[in-house]
Amino acid sequence: MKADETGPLEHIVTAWAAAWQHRMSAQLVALWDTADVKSWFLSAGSVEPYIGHAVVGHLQRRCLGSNAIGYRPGQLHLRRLAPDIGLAFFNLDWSERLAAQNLDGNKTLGGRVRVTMMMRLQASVWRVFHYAEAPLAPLLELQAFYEAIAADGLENIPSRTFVPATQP
Amino acid sequence: MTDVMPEIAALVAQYVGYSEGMNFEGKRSLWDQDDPQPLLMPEEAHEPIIGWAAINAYWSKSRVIMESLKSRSANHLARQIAPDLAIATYDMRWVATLAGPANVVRKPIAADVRVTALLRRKPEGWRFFHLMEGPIDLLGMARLAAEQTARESAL
Repeated sequence: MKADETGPLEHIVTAWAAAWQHRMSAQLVALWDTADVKSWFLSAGSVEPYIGHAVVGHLQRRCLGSNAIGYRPGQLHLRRLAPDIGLAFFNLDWSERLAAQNLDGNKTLGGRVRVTMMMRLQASVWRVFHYAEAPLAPLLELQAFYEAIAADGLENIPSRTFVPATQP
Repeated sequence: MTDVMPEIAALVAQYVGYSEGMNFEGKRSLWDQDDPQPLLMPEEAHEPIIGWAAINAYWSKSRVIMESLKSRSANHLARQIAPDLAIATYDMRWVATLAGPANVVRKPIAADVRVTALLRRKPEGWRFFHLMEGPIDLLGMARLAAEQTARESAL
Protein backbone atom coordinates (compact mmCIF):
# COMPACT_ATOMS: atom_id res chain seq x y z
CA MET A 1 0.00 0.00 0.00
CA LYS A 2 1.49 3.33 -1.02
CA ALA A 3 1.73 6.04 1.60
CA ASP A 4 -0.28 8.46 -0.53
CA GLU A 5 -3.17 5.98 -0.50
CA THR A 6 -3.34 5.75 3.28
CA GLY A 7 -2.06 9.25 4.06
CA PRO A 8 -5.55 10.79 4.07
CA LEU A 9 -6.78 8.04 6.41
CA GLU A 10 -3.96 8.73 8.86
CA HIS A 11 -4.78 12.42 8.66
CA ILE A 12 -8.40 11.71 9.67
CA VAL A 13 -7.33 9.55 12.62
CA THR A 14 -4.95 12.31 13.77
CA ALA A 15 -7.66 14.98 13.43
CA TRP A 16 -10.17 12.75 15.23
CA ALA A 17 -7.74 12.20 18.12
CA ALA A 18 -6.97 15.93 18.37
CA ALA A 19 -10.67 16.76 18.46
CA TRP A 20 -11.18 14.34 21.37
CA GLN A 21 -8.10 15.65 23.18
CA HIS A 22 -9.49 19.18 23.03
CA ARG A 23 -13.11 18.08 23.54
CA MET A 24 -14.07 19.90 20.34
CA SER A 25 -17.43 18.33 19.53
CA ALA A 26 -17.91 20.60 16.49
CA GLN A 27 -14.70 19.21 15.02
CA LEU A 28 -15.76 15.63 15.77
CA VAL A 29 -19.13 16.23 14.11
CA ALA A 30 -17.35 17.78 11.11
CA LEU A 31 -15.37 14.55 10.74
CA TRP A 32 -18.52 12.41 11.00
CA ASP A 33 -20.72 11.53 8.03
CA THR A 34 -23.89 13.13 9.40
CA ALA A 35 -25.76 12.36 6.16
CA ASP A 36 -25.46 8.62 6.75
CA VAL A 37 -28.59 7.57 8.65
CA LYS A 38 -27.03 4.17 9.36
CA SER A 39 -23.72 5.45 10.70
CA TRP A 40 -22.63 3.56 13.82
CA PHE A 41 -20.80 4.58 16.99
CA LEU A 42 -20.18 2.04 19.75
CA SER A 43 -18.06 2.99 22.74
CA ALA A 44 -16.56 0.38 25.04
CA GLY A 45 -18.73 1.33 28.01
CA SER A 46 -22.08 1.54 26.20
CA VAL A 47 -24.50 -1.34 25.99
CA GLU A 48 -26.18 0.07 22.89
CA PRO A 49 -24.61 1.69 19.81
CA TYR A 50 -25.56 5.18 18.68
CA ILE A 51 -26.92 5.08 15.13
CA GLY A 52 -27.42 7.83 12.56
CA HIS A 53 -28.35 11.23 13.95
CA ALA A 54 -28.01 9.97 17.54
CA VAL A 55 -24.23 9.95 17.06
CA VAL A 56 -24.03 13.75 16.85
CA GLY A 57 -25.84 14.22 20.16
CA HIS A 58 -23.65 11.60 21.79
CA LEU A 59 -20.43 13.26 20.62
CA GLN A 60 -21.64 16.60 21.94
CA ARG A 61 -22.68 15.17 25.31
CA ARG A 62 -19.39 13.31 25.72
CA CYS A 63 -17.38 16.50 25.20
CA LEU A 64 -19.61 18.57 27.46
CA GLY A 65 -19.67 15.90 30.16
CA SER A 66 -15.90 15.67 30.59
CA ASN A 67 -13.35 17.94 32.22
CA ALA A 68 -10.47 16.24 30.47
CA ILE A 69 -10.07 13.59 27.80
CA GLY A 70 -6.92 11.80 26.70
CA TYR A 71 -7.04 10.03 23.33
CA ARG A 72 -3.84 8.48 21.97
CA PRO A 73 -4.06 6.09 18.98
CA GLY A 74 -1.15 3.74 18.36
CA GLN A 75 -0.11 0.89 16.07
CA LEU A 76 -2.23 2.14 13.20
CA HIS A 77 -3.27 -0.41 10.61
CA LEU A 78 -4.59 1.50 7.60
CA ARG A 79 -6.11 0.12 4.41
CA ARG A 80 -7.68 1.73 1.40
CA LEU A 81 -10.35 -0.86 0.63
CA ALA A 82 -11.76 1.00 -2.37
CA PRO A 83 -11.01 4.39 -3.93
CA ASP A 84 -13.61 5.93 -1.63
CA ILE A 85 -13.55 3.56 1.39
CA GLY A 86 -10.88 3.49 4.09
CA LEU A 87 -10.28 1.32 7.14
CA ALA A 88 -8.31 2.29 10.23
CA PHE A 89 -7.66 -0.16 13.04
CA PHE A 90 -5.68 1.00 16.07
CA ASN A 91 -4.98 0.56 19.75
CA LEU A 92 -6.37 3.46 21.73
CA ASP A 93 -5.03 4.56 25.11
CA TRP A 94 -7.73 6.75 26.63
CA SER A 95 -8.36 8.67 29.82
CA GLU A 96 -11.27 10.75 31.01
CA ARG A 97 -12.25 12.87 33.98
CA LEU A 98 -15.99 13.42 34.14
CA ALA A 99 -17.37 16.90 34.78
CA ALA A 100 -20.19 15.77 37.06
CA GLN A 101 -19.38 15.11 40.70
CA ASN A 102 -19.41 11.45 41.59
CA LEU A 103 -18.57 9.27 44.57
CA ASP A 104 -14.94 8.66 43.70
CA GLY A 105 -14.03 12.33 43.73
CA ASN A 106 -13.79 12.64 39.97
CA LYS A 107 -10.56 10.76 39.60
CA THR A 108 -9.28 10.27 36.09
CA LEU A 109 -10.15 6.87 34.63
CA GLY A 110 -8.40 5.26 31.69
CA GLY A 111 -7.71 2.16 29.71
CA ARG A 112 -6.88 0.65 26.34
CA VAL A 113 -9.35 -0.38 23.66
CA ARG A 114 -9.02 -1.52 20.07
CA VAL A 115 -10.82 0.56 17.45
CA THR A 116 -12.24 -0.22 14.02
CA MET A 117 -12.98 3.02 12.15
CA MET A 118 -14.44 3.18 8.66
CA MET A 119 -14.27 6.26 6.47
CA ARG A 120 -15.70 7.23 3.09
CA LEU A 121 -14.63 9.87 0.59
CA GLN A 122 -17.41 12.12 -0.64
CA ALA A 123 -16.88 15.34 -2.61
CA SER A 124 -13.15 15.21 -1.84
CA VAL A 125 -13.74 14.99 1.92
CA TRP A 126 -13.11 11.92 4.08
CA ARG A 127 -15.62 11.33 6.85
CA VAL A 128 -16.10 8.61 9.45
CA PHE A 129 -19.27 6.50 9.23
CA HIS A 130 -18.50 3.54 11.52
CA TYR A 131 -16.63 3.60 14.82
CA ALA A 132 -16.46 0.69 17.27
CA GLU A 133 -14.32 0.24 20.39
CA ALA A 134 -13.40 -3.20 21.72
CA PRO A 135 -11.79 -3.56 25.14
CA LEU A 136 -9.93 -6.62 26.32
CA ALA A 137 -12.27 -9.21 27.88
CA PRO A 138 -13.22 -7.85 31.35
CA LEU A 139 -12.24 -11.16 32.98
CA LEU A 140 -8.68 -10.68 31.72
CA GLU A 141 -8.60 -6.99 32.63
CA LEU A 142 -9.55 -7.92 36.18
CA GLN A 143 -6.94 -10.69 36.27
CA ALA A 144 -4.30 -8.24 35.03
CA PHE A 145 -5.25 -5.85 37.84
CA TYR A 146 -4.89 -8.62 40.43
CA GLU A 147 -1.51 -9.50 38.91
CA ALA A 148 -0.43 -5.85 39.10
CA ILE A 149 -1.27 -5.78 42.82
CA ALA A 150 0.70 -9.00 43.31
CA ALA A 151 3.65 -7.48 41.47
CA ASP A 152 3.41 -4.45 43.73
CA GLY A 153 4.26 -6.68 46.71
CA LEU A 154 2.91 -7.47 50.15
CA GLU A 155 4.29 -4.34 51.77
CA ASN A 156 2.60 -1.78 49.58
CA ILE A 157 -0.87 -1.52 51.08
CA PRO A 158 -2.05 2.02 50.19
CA SER A 159 -1.81 4.30 53.23
CA ARG A 160 -4.91 6.24 54.24
CA THR A 161 -5.40 9.34 56.33
CA PHE A 162 -8.49 9.02 58.44
CA VAL A 163 -9.57 12.60 59.05
CA PRO A 164 -12.84 13.00 60.98
CA ALA A 165 -15.20 15.54 59.51
CA THR A 166 -15.55 18.68 61.62
CA GLN A 167 -18.90 19.64 60.09
CA PRO A 168 -21.96 17.41 59.58
CA MET B 1 -27.06 -1.21 -3.62
CA THR B 2 -28.92 -4.45 -3.05
CA ASP B 3 -30.10 -5.66 0.35
CA VAL B 4 -27.29 -7.92 1.54
CA MET B 5 -28.82 -8.53 4.96
CA PRO B 6 -30.37 -11.98 4.39
CA GLU B 7 -27.27 -13.42 2.73
CA ILE B 8 -24.82 -12.00 5.27
CA ALA B 9 -26.99 -12.84 8.30
CA ALA B 10 -27.09 -16.44 7.07
CA LEU B 11 -23.32 -16.41 6.57
CA VAL B 12 -22.75 -15.04 10.09
CA ALA B 13 -25.01 -17.71 11.59
CA GLN B 14 -23.07 -20.37 9.70
CA TYR B 15 -19.74 -18.88 10.81
CA VAL B 16 -20.73 -18.59 14.45
CA GLY B 17 -22.18 -22.11 14.34
CA TYR B 18 -18.75 -23.45 13.43
CA SER B 19 -17.65 -22.63 17.00
CA GLU B 20 -19.38 -25.81 18.10
CA GLY B 21 -16.78 -28.53 17.88
CA MET B 22 -14.23 -25.77 17.28
CA ASN B 23 -14.48 -26.24 13.54
CA PHE B 24 -11.87 -23.67 12.60
CA GLU B 25 -11.50 -25.17 9.12
CA GLY B 26 -15.12 -24.25 8.57
CA LYS B 27 -14.50 -20.75 9.88
CA ARG B 28 -11.46 -20.32 7.64
CA SER B 29 -13.51 -21.33 4.60
CA LEU B 30 -15.72 -18.26 5.15
CA TRP B 31 -12.78 -15.85 5.10
CA ASP B 32 -11.36 -14.26 1.96
CA GLN B 33 -8.37 -16.52 1.33
CA ASP B 34 -6.95 -14.03 -1.18
CA ASP B 35 -6.74 -11.16 1.30
CA PRO B 36 -3.07 -10.61 2.18
CA GLN B 37 -3.82 -8.85 5.50
CA PRO B 38 -6.88 -10.40 7.17
CA LEU B 39 -7.37 -9.08 10.70
CA LEU B 40 -9.00 -10.93 13.60
CA MET B 41 -9.41 -9.19 16.96
CA PRO B 42 -10.72 -11.70 19.53
CA GLU B 43 -11.75 -10.22 22.87
CA GLU B 44 -9.18 -12.23 24.81
CA ALA B 45 -6.21 -11.33 22.60
CA HIS B 46 -3.94 -8.51 23.69
CA GLU B 47 -2.97 -7.58 20.14
CA PRO B 48 -4.73 -7.89 16.79
CA ILE B 49 -4.05 -11.07 14.87
CA ILE B 50 -3.01 -10.07 11.37
CA GLY B 51 -2.18 -12.41 8.49
CA TRP B 52 -2.94 -16.04 7.81
CA ALA B 53 -0.01 -17.53 9.73
CA ALA B 54 -1.05 -15.69 12.89
CA ILE B 55 -4.75 -16.49 12.50
CA ASN B 56 -4.06 -20.19 11.91
CA ALA B 57 -1.80 -20.27 14.97
CA TYR B 58 -4.49 -18.60 17.07
CA TRP B 59 -7.13 -21.13 16.03
CA SER B 60 -4.77 -24.04 16.73
CA LYS B 61 -4.08 -22.66 20.21
CA SER B 62 -7.81 -22.27 20.90
CA ARG B 63 -8.25 -26.04 20.61
CA VAL B 64 -5.71 -26.48 23.41
CA ILE B 65 -7.12 -23.84 25.76
CA MET B 66 -10.81 -24.77 25.54
CA GLU B 67 -12.47 -28.07 26.21
CA SER B 68 -15.73 -26.98 24.61
CA LEU B 69 -17.11 -23.94 22.84
CA LYS B 70 -20.53 -22.94 21.52
CA SER B 71 -21.68 -19.61 20.12
CA ARG B 72 -24.88 -18.01 18.87
CA SER B 73 -25.45 -14.66 17.16
CA ALA B 74 -28.34 -12.20 17.17
CA ASN B 75 -29.26 -8.65 16.20
CA HIS B 76 -27.63 -8.88 12.78
CA LEU B 77 -27.24 -5.75 10.67
CA ALA B 78 -25.45 -5.63 7.33
CA ARG B 79 -25.12 -3.19 4.50
CA GLN B 80 -23.18 -2.83 1.31
CA ILE B 81 -20.70 0.05 1.38
CA ALA B 82 -19.12 -0.49 -2.07
CA PRO B 83 -19.91 -2.86 -4.95
CA ASP B 84 -17.73 -5.58 -3.41
CA LEU B 85 -17.65 -4.52 0.25
CA ALA B 86 -20.08 -4.90 3.14
CA ILE B 87 -20.06 -4.12 6.83
CA ALA B 88 -21.90 -6.26 9.36
CA THR B 89 -22.56 -5.90 13.07
CA TYR B 90 -24.03 -8.50 15.37
CA ASP B 91 -24.08 -9.68 18.96
CA MET B 92 -22.51 -13.00 19.81
CA ARG B 93 -22.80 -15.07 22.99
CA TRP B 94 -20.12 -17.67 23.54
CA VAL B 95 -20.21 -20.44 26.13
CA ALA B 96 -16.93 -22.19 26.87
CA THR B 97 -15.43 -24.68 29.26
CA LEU B 98 -11.73 -24.15 29.70
CA ALA B 99 -9.37 -27.10 29.49
CA GLY B 100 -7.90 -28.38 32.75
CA PRO B 101 -7.29 -31.46 34.90
CA ALA B 102 -9.98 -34.13 34.51
CA ASN B 103 -10.55 -34.36 38.28
CA VAL B 104 -11.37 -30.65 38.64
CA VAL B 105 -15.01 -29.68 38.07
CA ARG B 106 -15.24 -26.66 35.81
CA LYS B 107 -18.41 -24.71 35.14
CA PRO B 108 -18.93 -23.19 31.70
CA ILE B 109 -18.40 -19.46 31.40
CA ALA B 110 -20.11 -17.20 28.86
CA ALA B 111 -20.22 -13.61 27.70
CA ASP B 112 -21.68 -11.44 24.99
CA VAL B 113 -19.57 -9.51 22.49
CA ARG B 114 -20.52 -6.93 19.88
CA VAL B 115 -18.93 -7.78 16.55
CA THR B 116 -17.93 -5.49 13.69
CA ALA B 117 -17.08 -7.47 10.57
CA LEU B 118 -16.02 -6.43 7.08
CA LEU B 119 -16.74 -8.69 4.14
CA ARG B 120 -15.74 -8.82 0.49
CA ARG B 121 -17.88 -10.22 -2.31
CA LYS B 122 -16.15 -13.16 -3.96
CA PRO B 123 -17.37 -15.51 -6.71
CA GLU B 124 -18.30 -18.02 -3.98
CA GLY B 125 -20.18 -15.39 -1.92
CA TRP B 126 -19.43 -12.89 0.83
CA ARG B 127 -16.24 -13.61 2.77
CA PHE B 128 -14.78 -12.06 5.95
CA PHE B 129 -11.49 -10.16 5.95
CA HIS B 130 -11.79 -8.14 9.20
CA LEU B 131 -13.54 -9.20 12.39
CA MET B 132 -13.42 -7.49 15.79
CA GLU B 133 -15.11 -8.75 18.96
CA GLY B 134 -15.96 -6.02 21.48
CA PRO B 135 -17.21 -6.91 24.95
CA ILE B 136 -18.59 -4.19 27.14
CA ASP B 137 -15.76 -2.82 29.28
CA LEU B 138 -14.99 -3.76 32.88
CA LEU B 139 -16.92 -0.83 34.36
CA GLY B 140 -19.91 -1.56 32.15
CA MET B 141 -19.84 -5.24 33.04
CA ALA B 142 -19.67 -4.43 36.76
CA ARG B 143 -22.77 -2.27 36.29
CA LEU B 144 -24.57 -5.09 34.44
CA ALA B 145 -23.63 -7.52 37.23
CA ALA B 146 -25.00 -5.15 39.88
CA GLU B 147 -28.19 -4.64 37.88
CA GLN B 148 -28.65 -8.40 37.66
CA THR B 149 -28.10 -8.79 41.41
CA ALA B 150 -30.67 -6.08 42.09
CA ARG B 151 -33.21 -7.78 39.83
CA GLU B 152 -32.64 -11.14 41.47
CA SER B 153 -32.82 -9.81 45.03
CA ALA B 154 -35.87 -7.66 44.19
CA LEU B 155 -35.36 -5.41 47.22
